[in-house]
Amino acid sequence: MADESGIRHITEEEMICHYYGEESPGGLQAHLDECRQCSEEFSTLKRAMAAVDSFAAPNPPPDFEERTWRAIVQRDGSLAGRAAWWRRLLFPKRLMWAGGLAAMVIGAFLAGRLSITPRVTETAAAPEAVRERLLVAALSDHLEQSERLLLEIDNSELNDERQVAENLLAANRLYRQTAALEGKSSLATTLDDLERVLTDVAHAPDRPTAAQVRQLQARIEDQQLLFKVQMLGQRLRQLNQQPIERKG
Amino acid sequence: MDVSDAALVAQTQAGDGNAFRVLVERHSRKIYRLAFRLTGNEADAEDVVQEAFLKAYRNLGNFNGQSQFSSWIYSIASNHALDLLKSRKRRPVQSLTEEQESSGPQLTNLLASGTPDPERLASGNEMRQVIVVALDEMTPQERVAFTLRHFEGRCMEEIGASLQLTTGATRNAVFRAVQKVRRALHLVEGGPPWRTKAESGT
Repeated sequence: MADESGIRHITEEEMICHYYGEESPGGLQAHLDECRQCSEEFSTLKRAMAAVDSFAAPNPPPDFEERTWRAIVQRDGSLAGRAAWWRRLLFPKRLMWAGGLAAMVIGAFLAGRLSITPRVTETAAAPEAVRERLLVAALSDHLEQSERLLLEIDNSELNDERQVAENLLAANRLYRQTAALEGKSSLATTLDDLERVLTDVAHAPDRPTAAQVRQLQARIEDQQLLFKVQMLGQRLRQLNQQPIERKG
Repeated sequence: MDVSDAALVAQTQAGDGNAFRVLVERHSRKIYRLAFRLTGNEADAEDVVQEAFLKAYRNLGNFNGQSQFSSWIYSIASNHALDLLKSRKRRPVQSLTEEQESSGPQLTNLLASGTPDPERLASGNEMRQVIVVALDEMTPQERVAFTLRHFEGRCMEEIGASLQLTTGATRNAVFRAVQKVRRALHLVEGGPPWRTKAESGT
């Protein structure tokens, strides 16, 4: 039904369709341009829709993603297992201890080595063995973390890895120096190779180019660094599984 | 050098939980905003986000990659919110925040308070309350369809596919929702009446 003058005006549904850019009858825009009544009604619709936009959603808290992830992991154990090592990587605060721990362990180890006080008790040799075991355990842990980092560089970009590398770097330097001091040249060489890569990752630009990441990945591959670190870590873990010999 | 969603989905399917974490980090804020508009409160919105990602993770094996992950997770979140709204409809009308809850933003209350000044309406909290009331007046299906169309810019076909509705039914749900918004605003602002389809003669 048209109005008294015989003009067919636009229906509300057609206008809503038009507003949302959906398919609408041909000539609708031309009618809107010519018909003052429909044009005014379309303006009213637009004002109403603009008013709806005032219903803004609040910004979630800054740690929303982290909170969401934790909640999901808590509710699905299988995801927790799959992401366990990543969680360790993504909590760099834990790794902040790496340098300090290494310094303490190495310090204790060297203090024991350099001590000239004779020990005559039943467990006289045990402290040295324990110190060595501690050093091996700490170094093994360091290599495990480095291995994860190398694996991640192998797989993607360098977002969280820079901070992780920086934290590992200080500990690596101490381990390398200790290995050299102890005459463990093979270990010192591997740690030296590792240190160069850690340095490069720690000092990588905010947004490294694909070529820079590929170059780093190529270097890790050429040096067989990942393989060396894995083998070394495996050897150290085996070593630490052996019982401590007590001297009496 | 962002890894694509498709690659992250494939990595997750291969057992890399971290890849799924990246998907959560990438999409959770957008899903939260959608969920807030659908449910009207922060606690429910957070619940919808978590539930949507959990469902997505558990059903990732069925995700064939024909659609985008973002569309898929939107669809899951929308349907969970729809269920939530349906269950809520059996309870008294919900409001947006505690503050608004205490103020009772019903249209009748707003009208009873006298004719609002249009300028105050346009700039103040009152306009927001009118919209909240209008959204609460919608059926769950209308609210979800309207939110996806108006705020998220999804096309009718996509919304229909998400909600398992025909395009025609989706369009009708959006129409009814828009009419409710306009009616609420008209009641408060005292604007011109709207011509119905019958009146326009089509």
